[in-house]
Amino acid sequence: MAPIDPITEFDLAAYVDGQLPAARRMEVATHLAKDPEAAADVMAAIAQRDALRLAFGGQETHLPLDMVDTADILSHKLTRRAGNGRLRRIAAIFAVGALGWGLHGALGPLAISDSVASVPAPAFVGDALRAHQTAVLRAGAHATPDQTWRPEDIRAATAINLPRLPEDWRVHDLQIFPSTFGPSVEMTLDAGEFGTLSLFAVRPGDFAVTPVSAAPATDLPAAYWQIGEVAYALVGGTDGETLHQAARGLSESLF
Amino acid sequence: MRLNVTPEIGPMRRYARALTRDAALADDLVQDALLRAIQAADSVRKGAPLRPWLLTIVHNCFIDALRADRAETRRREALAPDAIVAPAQEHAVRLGQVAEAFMALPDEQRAALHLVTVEGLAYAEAAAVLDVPVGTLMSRLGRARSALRAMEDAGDGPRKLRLVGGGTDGAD
Repeated sequence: MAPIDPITEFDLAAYVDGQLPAARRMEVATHLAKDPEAAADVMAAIAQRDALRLAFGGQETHLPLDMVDTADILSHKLTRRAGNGRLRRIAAIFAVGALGWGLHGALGPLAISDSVASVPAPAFVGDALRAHQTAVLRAGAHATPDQTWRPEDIRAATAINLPRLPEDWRVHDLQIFPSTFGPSVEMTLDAGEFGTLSLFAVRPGDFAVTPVSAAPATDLPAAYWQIGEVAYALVGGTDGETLHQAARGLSESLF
Repeated sequence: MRLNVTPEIGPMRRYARALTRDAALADDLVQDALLRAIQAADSVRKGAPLRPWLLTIVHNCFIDALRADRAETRRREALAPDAIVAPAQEHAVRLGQVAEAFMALPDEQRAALHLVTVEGLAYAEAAAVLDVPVGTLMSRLGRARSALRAMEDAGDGPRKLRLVGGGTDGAD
């Protein structure tokens, strides 16, 4: 039998605390099997450990509200800090995915959606515009419109309800992309008199029901609304007012 | 990625109770620690696990409070009654004894034993929270366990153990 390293006090403590690698754990157990006195000590230490866990390891039934509020502030700050690097990655890999974050920023302070100041980061707006422009380029490259998608397939895959489109609109392209809070959908539409529009259905990470609103003015009109966990954005065209009406029609088809 | 601190409140409060031995003081300590964490959030290493970081802040806040000698007398006498989950049936007496003996341990031993045993931190993590070498952590653990064990061997209740566990932790 191969000789093993001497079993030390450290090994015995680490055995009790579950901090040994499996191989060493087995060697300690083998040693204990031959040394009843040491085994009794270890068993007593394990019983003590379990008693302390039972006595002090209980789950909290309710938390003080001020503590939860403070923890929320900390969560936001840490998330924002961790999110910076990640956002750049998402923007690079999924130019479209960034819109989810952009929407999140724009949808959060809904009460003041007319205010440009409510958009936290100009980078989000830039990402959203680039996403649509990329979509336009891609739509132009496709020779034949894609007619194979079915709303029920999308719903099965993403748990997202897609709106019923007007008769004369055609789907050029449809993509499902990952985002922080679950799969989201981007559709490129041949939208009759509007030309090419992009419809995004993303998960901003909160729950709300909000009516169709106009995004803060840029040179590209955009309208957005939210039903439950899914936020929708219709982007493109030239006239914000007619786009707004079209968006309202789409949103009503979802109820 | 959404970082959520709320699940860490439980471990923070448990550790704060082990340190302060007083439920109200412990909650004040956790609130202080959360506020300090907000201030320190920009300097935390990205991707570092939340729990050891937050427990370190709880620990540092506790040390600062000790230095300020805030409510020291209250802390010495108090045993947090609601820090102990009411255990069932025949274990009740034994758990009560272990819990009271634990509370009677010197601060340093109690902190070490709590972090490793109750919160399940790795030795290196617990040592980092306490800002001591792993060897020091191990010797505190060893002394804490011996003291608790001595109480059990004495067999006649926790009152006696206060004598066993009441010393200082000076032999690191």
